[in-house]
Amino acid sequence: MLSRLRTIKNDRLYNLSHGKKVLLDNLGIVSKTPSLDDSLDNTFKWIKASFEAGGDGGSSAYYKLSTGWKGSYPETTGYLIPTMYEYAAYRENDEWKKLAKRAADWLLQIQAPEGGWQGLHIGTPCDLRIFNSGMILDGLIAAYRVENDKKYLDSAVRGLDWILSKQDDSGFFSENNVVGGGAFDTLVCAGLLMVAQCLPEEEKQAYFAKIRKALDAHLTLQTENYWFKNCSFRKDGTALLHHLGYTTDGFIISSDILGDDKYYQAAKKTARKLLSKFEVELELPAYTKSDWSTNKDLGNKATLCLTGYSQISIVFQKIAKTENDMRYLNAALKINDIVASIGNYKSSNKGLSYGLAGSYPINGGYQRNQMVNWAAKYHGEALLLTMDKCMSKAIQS
Amino acid sequence: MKKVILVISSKTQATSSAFIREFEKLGGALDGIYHITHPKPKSNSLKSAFRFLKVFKPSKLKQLFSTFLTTKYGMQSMDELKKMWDVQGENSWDVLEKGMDIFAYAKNKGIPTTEAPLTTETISDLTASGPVIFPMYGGGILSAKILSNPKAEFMNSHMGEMPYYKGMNVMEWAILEEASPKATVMVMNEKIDGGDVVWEKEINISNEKSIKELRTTGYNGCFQAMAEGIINYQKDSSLREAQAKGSKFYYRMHHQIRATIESNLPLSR
Repeated sequence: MLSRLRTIKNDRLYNLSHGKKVLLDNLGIVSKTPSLDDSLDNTFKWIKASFEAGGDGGSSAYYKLSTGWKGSYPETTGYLIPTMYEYAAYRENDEWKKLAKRAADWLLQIQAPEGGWQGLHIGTPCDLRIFNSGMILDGLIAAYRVENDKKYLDSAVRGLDWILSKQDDSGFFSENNVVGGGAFDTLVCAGLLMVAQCLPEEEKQAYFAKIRKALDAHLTLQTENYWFKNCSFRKDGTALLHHLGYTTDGFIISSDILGDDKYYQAAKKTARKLLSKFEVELELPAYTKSDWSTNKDLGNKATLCLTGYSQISIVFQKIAKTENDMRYLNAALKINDIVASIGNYKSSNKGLSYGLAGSYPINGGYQRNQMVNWAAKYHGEALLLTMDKCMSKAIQS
Repeated sequence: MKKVILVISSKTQATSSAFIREFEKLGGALDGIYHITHPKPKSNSLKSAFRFLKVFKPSKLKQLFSTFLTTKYGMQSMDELKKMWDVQGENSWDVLEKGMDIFAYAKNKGIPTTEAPLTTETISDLTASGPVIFPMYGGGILSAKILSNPKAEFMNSHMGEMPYYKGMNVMEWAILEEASPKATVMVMNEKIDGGDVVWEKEINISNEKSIKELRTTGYNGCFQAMAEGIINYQKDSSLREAQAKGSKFYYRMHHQIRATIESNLPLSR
């Protein structure tokens, strides 16, 4: 009883908007499923609020029930940039292009002389981190391509050099990395490849060789049943869906840039397992054990990881397009429905309105009681991909 | 020749009635009808009182509160959201005409009937005088024990070509992939849609204007395939073959993709 009262006090559940969100989530009640367009616009309303909260050009990491908006988060601001450019193009709205450019400029300002970026959010002291820096490269390359300004590429190359300077002899990135690195670093490799492919041929090939070494090392983390080891920040032998999303998408992007099918095939094998689990159980748990069984993270229940859901939707859509296998698109559409319905929550509180929490219900094991900007980013990207002309054509055919 | 005993779960179900119609058309004759019964547990007033009290369990109250909220504020439960992907309005009982009274039919034709729970003992009794083919229009997924009787072959008819269209909504998936929809008659085993194949028949799609109409055609194709398959298998047991490799499993189709298929109907257009 006392602990419940403490939760009410700490998470400010006496605040009507907070209390209502927690109550509805725990009753398993969501809003009616909005159209994809409405869900997309609403998600970007929340993203805009996260930029306004930071005020420095970056996007606030999350809105926490107990403390409100946090400082800007370099890592996720980085990978929000390409999504904002895509949204600007989709809506033909330059406001989002300006916001994306401002975010990229902010990342240039806070880049460390060594070439990397700090982990965690602004206002929380943290060392330079490989994973966080790798995610920023994606944003800088998007800014370089859209703005056609070499300063973004130069900054990205400094980031690339710093990350590769930290590579182990075995190919992994265990130094200066979150939990000593993991399977999710395949997305760092993808970021590095995005930068390298903008460089002259000889330089590019030299970088590609080093990045291949990293990718091959990370392939060894895939188990015989296509699960991934070291795929969570927790050290309890489970894999977090969010990190499985990073890992599989990292392999797919890398395969595309390098033209090497083995990375794609590795991702597809994992995706096939996830497809089957999702379709049979009609949900994917936040954490899975090494035999793909569900790990219960909230008492006797398993919660959902909303970021992971949208990332898997993206991976499914990419596979659907590559293979012309509509079963993957079918599952991606269902995932989009689930996340869109959960996110269709209107409130006068900008931190909650149309935002997506780390977990569903919000008090689940991953990023408990906070609306995170990376969940919004990936939901936005998943929807933009669904509405992409190629995808629409696939549905039509 | 192997006997044929029809397995049903309701005395008036549409699917078994439709199968009988197709089977008779081809000159088939049933050797028996087996109605699977589900005996109700004996109840007494004390148990009833406890059942009444269960309404007030916290989970029930939570459910009532959820229903109130979803109705009043136009929201939905997560379960309702997932039901969106169910095959709604396209199940056999939705699209087929109501069936005849099968027991009255059996009496009229002098076909012996059995009413008993689905147990190994019942199957042993029914196969005591020799091997039996059981066209299954009831019974669901069968246990390994039931399937282990060597004299019993439980047949089902699936609305997709095996092994390429296993699972759900397979006729729609075949149409989406521009493949010819087929019905397959299989001898059931422990694997879902994994049994040996005895017959395959193309489902002729032409002027259907909706998924509901497609399904009606699909079901009729399955009844015809089952009737043809059993009659031919009675004559030639070498028709039974293990499935080829390369199976593909399909799941409930999202309504957006089904709407796309529907917008392209009729296929003859």
